[in-house]
Amino acid sequence: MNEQLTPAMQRRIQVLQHYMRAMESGDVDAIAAVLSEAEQDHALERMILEFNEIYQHEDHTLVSPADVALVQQQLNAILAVKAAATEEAPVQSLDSKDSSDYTLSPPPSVALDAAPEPEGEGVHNITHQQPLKAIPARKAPTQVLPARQMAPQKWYRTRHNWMVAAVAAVLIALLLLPNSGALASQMLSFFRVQNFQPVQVTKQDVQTLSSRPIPSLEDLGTVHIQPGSLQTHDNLVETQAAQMVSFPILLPHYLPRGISGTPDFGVIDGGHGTFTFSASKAHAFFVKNGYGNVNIPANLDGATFDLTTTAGVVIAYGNQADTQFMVVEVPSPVVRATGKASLDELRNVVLSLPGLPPQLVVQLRQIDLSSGIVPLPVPSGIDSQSVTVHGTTGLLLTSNVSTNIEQIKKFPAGSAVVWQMHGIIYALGGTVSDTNQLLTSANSLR
Amino acid sequence: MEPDTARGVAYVTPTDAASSKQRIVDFLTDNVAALLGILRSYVKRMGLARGEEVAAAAVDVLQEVVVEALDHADRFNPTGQPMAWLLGIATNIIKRKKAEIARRSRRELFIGELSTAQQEPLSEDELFDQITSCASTGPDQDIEANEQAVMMLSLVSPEDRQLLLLAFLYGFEREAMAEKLGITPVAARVRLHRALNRLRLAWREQLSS
Repeated sequence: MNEQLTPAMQRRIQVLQHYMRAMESGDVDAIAAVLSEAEQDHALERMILEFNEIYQHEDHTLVSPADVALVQQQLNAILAVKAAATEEAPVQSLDSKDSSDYTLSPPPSVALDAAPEPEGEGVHNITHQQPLKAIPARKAPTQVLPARQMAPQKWYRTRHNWMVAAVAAVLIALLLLPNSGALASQMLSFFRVQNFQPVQVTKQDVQTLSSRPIPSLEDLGTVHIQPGSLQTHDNLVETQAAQMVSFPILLPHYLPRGISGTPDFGVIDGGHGTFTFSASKAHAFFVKNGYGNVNIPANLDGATFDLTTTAGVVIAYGNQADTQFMVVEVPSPVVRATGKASLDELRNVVLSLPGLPPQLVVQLRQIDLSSGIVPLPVPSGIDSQSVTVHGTTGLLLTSNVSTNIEQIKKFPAGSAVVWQMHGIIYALGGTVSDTNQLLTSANSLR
Repeated sequence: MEPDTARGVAYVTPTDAASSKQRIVDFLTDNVAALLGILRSYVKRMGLARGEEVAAAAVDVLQEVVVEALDHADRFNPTGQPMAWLLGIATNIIKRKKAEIARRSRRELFIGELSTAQQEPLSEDELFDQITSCASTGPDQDIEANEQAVMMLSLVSPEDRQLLLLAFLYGFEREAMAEKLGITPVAARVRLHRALNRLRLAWREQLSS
């Protein structure tokens, strides 16, 4: 046997032993060292890959096609951010049918499922274009339930408002996100929604915010929206919608009482926006509006914040006149901070503005956002409570304003539940007063 | 001063960086599934996450790998192996994340338990500088390598040994092995995996005894 072993073979066997030992003991440094050697040795690399396949079987860490599709969607968002940041031609997305030299098997390495190309635009009824807007700070707190539809034939408008409200809430939340430690070393910071936490916004808060000049992003810097961001496509059928998103669309197999009918599908495209803070512009706004004492950290000047969203789906049930029920499925946005300052510093500046409702500021400051918790503004008339949906924690929002017709018209009795699962934000809601039925419907998504 | 060619070396000029970046993207395009599967095992075995948290932690690591790789595309050797390069980045990210977790729980631990060499997070340059080879060759190492190889192969049956020798000889190229064995590449793969698994189990048993 000895005569058969060339030095190269001996070395490979030795490295294999190192790798096995490292994997058995979880020795990160040893694994890194072996990989470094494999970086220049194709045979070593293949050997490691073969062995990894064995470990995946033993560890039960095989990946499913659904897992791969979700990760592809998330990585596409990252690539979009990178392409936009470097002002290069968009890099190729991760949707491909190409087979891989490194795909060692059928299981566990599943073939990449290609996301089919969307059909030509002609088949889609593009009813509205909604560019990514700056933080709508002057607006009243986000309404969490859809307003009663007064013009049933224009049901998409309510849906659109719902989406705008949802997107606005997410934008507000994300723009208030603190920084992670990675930013301190100029690393990109990626934020993914893990959970939601209600932030109570009282009528007094609304009045206070409405009475004061709250800066929009344009007042604090420069906003650039990638053309074509957040375009909406309405009146689709399921197959069309499925072709336009990069994740499996889940449908409720149980609908609350009174909700029926064939659902309509809508898709809101992905988008990309960049905000660059300008100290001089912000200072000018602050001085003009009596906030001259607000301190602007020097490193915030020129700091850039990117927000990238990917396509999501809205599924609407009901006749839109008396009953409304919607399912929203949106991949978690990706937020990136580059340059010299963190999102936390931007948040501190905004929250330091004089005259802001103190209780609101306290609530926003207290939330530990670094762990992926998103504050969700909850206006008066809405109750919120933590619930379990699909085995994870979600937030149940219930409208408690239904005392008279006028109030009902403004804000119907209803409920909504929102949660995050596998990188997708799910929300179900509508004119459903029985929260048990709502949760049953949420748990029936598959 | 002479440049430190062993650390932080850039393999391509800035002009070529774009093509390197595209090559990395192309590679990622074709290998998301393989990368994700391997990272799950890494995350689990390196103790970054357990149970149901493994999948999400692996995705987080993969995302950071993509970012780091694209940001440092100029450091990828065009003649090198991209999977090993990306996995090398992943191990350092895992290491950094573990250090962050340890730092967060510092107050709950005794100081003595924290006195490891890598408590501080790595900078980007440090992160990449750590991806250096540990290989060293010399007469003593050659003898040791030979002894280890002989010992390892003695753990398995003659049939498995022959198969593994072929694998090491042909660089784990299934097609070449299949041709030599007169079987299909799929059959070669199955045999190889069984032999590797038996080798691993025998080696583990020897260690425990």
